[in-house]
Amino acid sequence: MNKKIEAHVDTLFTNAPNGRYAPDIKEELLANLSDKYDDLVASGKNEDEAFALVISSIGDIDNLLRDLGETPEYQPLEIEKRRQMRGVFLSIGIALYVLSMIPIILADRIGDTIIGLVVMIVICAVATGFIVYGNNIGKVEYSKMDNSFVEAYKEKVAVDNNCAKLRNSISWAMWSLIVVIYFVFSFISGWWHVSWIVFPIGACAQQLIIYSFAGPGTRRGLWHGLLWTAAVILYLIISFTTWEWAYTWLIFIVAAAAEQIIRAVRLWKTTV
Amino acid sequence: MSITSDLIRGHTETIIMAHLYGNDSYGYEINKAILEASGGEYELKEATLYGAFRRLETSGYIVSYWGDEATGARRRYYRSTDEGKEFFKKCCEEWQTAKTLIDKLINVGGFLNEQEN
Repeated sequence: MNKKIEAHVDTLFTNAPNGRYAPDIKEELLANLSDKYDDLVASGKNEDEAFALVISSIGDIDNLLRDLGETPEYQPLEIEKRRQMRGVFLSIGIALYVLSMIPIILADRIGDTIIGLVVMIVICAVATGFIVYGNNIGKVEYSKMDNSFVEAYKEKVAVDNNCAKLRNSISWAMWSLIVVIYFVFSFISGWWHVSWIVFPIGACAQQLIIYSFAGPGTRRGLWHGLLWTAAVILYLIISFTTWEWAYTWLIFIVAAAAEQIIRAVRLWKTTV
Repeated sequence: MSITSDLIRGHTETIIMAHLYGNDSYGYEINKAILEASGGEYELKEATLYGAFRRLETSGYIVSYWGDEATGARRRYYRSTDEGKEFFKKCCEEWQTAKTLIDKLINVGGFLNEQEN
């Protein structure tokens, strides 16, 4: 093997991380370069020309090692995939929570509140199951890292996770508060025909929370706004033409569920 | 030339998969074949080549193994998996679609026909 090539490659790898990829790449690179050098010399180039051509064909090894330092050890693809899977489960859970309101209200109309309550509790239990399971598949354990780029990446992931946690906590606190306000206000005043308005308001607030926490690249969720606008328009048209105000508000429940399902489908598509 | 390079770079993985479709190969052999196929005009940088290999390997389109050369350095060979062959066919279809579409899009003024005549 050509000593000059070997020495040059050595200098390229002085700052390489001690991961599983750098030593393999170095060996592969040396084998390819010495083959190339031999071919060039055999084709009539002198040794200096051959050496210069070989070295110029290497390209940006630093950049390659940086990319690899990220890819193999962290498997960001895997992390991303799990994050999206968690999104799917959370979305289904939230959709179920929203739908769990329907049986108790319908049962109340027939006069059998107990059945409605039981169905609601069962749906809520399933929804909780989805959310708990979804949270568990999101967890990723890392092996110990020894290079600074990798540490920086890990830190970034941790910060992102904290942001998501804060956002979720705010959302859950808000929805719990809305449900409590809804029932307390409705039972005291008896204005069930008015009090439901807190749910669409809550949904809009939810969108604002999501938007304010989203990075600039992820703020493409315009379909949320479109969906809710469509729901409101549909609600008003149907309500004014049929005058069935007692039932038309169910459009919002359906819209909330549809939103979660669309989200789940979109996440599912990008995952599979 | 730089526009051509950018265009080709976007298809590095397809080009590599084409060279691994029928038989296993290693980095230098693939690069030599690319140089020959392009009539000496195009060659991948080593770093580009290994980056593409690792991406393809992570995606499960190729697997690698070390050869047992009697003399000199060990070579790292690559083999296309069945998924890799499917991936390559898909890439070819996408390229055909893109080529047809781009031809149509830039030929609205008939410049392509003029150049051919």
